[in-house]
Amino acid sequence: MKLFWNSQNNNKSFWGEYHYKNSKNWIFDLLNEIKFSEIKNLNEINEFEPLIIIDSEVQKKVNFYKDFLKKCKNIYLIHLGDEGGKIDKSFYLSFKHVFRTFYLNSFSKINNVTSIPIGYKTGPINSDTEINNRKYNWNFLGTIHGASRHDLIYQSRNIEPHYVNITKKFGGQNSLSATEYYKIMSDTKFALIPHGYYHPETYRLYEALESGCIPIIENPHNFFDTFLPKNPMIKIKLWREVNKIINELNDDKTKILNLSASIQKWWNDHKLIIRKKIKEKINV
Amino acid sequence: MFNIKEFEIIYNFIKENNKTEANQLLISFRAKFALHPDYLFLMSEYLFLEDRIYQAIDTLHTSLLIDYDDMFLLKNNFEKSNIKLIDKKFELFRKLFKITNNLELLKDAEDSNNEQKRLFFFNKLQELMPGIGFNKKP
Repeated sequence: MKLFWNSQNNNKSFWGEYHYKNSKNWIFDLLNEIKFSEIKNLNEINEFEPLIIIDSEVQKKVNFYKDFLKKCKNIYLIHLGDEGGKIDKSFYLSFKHVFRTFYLNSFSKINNVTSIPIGYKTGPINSDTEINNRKYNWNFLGTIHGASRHDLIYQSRNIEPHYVNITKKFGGQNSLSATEYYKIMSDTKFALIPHGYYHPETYRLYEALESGCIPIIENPHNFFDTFLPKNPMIKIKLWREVNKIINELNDDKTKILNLSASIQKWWNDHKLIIRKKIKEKINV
Repeated sequence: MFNIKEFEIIYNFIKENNKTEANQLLISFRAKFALHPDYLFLMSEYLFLEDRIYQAIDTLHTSLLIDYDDMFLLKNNFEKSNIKLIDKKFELFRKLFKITNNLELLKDAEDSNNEQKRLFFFNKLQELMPGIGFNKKP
């Protein structure tokens, strides 16, 4: 099985480069049970050889795929991004199977499509610090779009110590480097996870899980109960709930430790399930 | 209260807690009026009814944003919401910030009893929630 990373090719864009630089560890984590070799040139495969191609903004690469799919017939696509579900569904029909991020109902009934979590960005992740020994009670690192994120900061502002780094746009000027980012994450007890720009998922959730934080997530339409079944994460409707939740858990070191352990166990088990699903689909 | 007659019907359905009828009418007017300031007020009221509080605030904020954008109103042949409806918008802001327990914005919304204070409140929202915007293409 060969694998080709195409997000950075055929369409120079912020997200194409972002995924090339930041999504590799997550995707390779999911492909853990698949034996593959990464190729740098598509001429290295023949017509019927199975290939995993990893891409983003594919709707802007229609001509590339038109040509490519004439030459190669055994292609699995890992489609990153597409928060708004812009892709024409018929595009997926030409692939053996598609794994797409940002779960949307409209794609859930397509037989050759499996939704996967958007995952975490590549970086030096460390989850070793025991939850009670972490420096910050909560953190928020990212942009303030609208009412939810503003309220998150407002309601939690008096819970000390905390770490807030607000950026004007995703990956913008004062964003922390991956090293700095994960240093804060791995020294934080609770990561506050608001809704994404359009979609309930944000990278922050998976970065918090990998860093051993306890995520407190906004859960519109119970999305995370459906998409991440049986997860023991803390879900809220309004950020005014956060003060009480954090204070009560901080008062009970055993309870917080048990919760942290159950979340980590669930997340590790859930990743195994996703890996198994991928292996079943890419049955080579 | 509304610049478009049919919106009064939607408003009445919302006030009667008739979500199904209100939603059907909102859908039917979406293509033409999705960015009309009165329509956005109704959407916000509907989201409030659905208990989607943050989306209701963002939508109401967008409604004000359009009220203050004369160019956009002109281009789309929309009218700014009338004073009675703007009073209703601030009433809704008060309800929403009371639910979220955002005492600072609740107080600001309560104090916004004249045009100058309302502009100040709007500018504050813009500063605190800078991601609220809309696609200006008509």
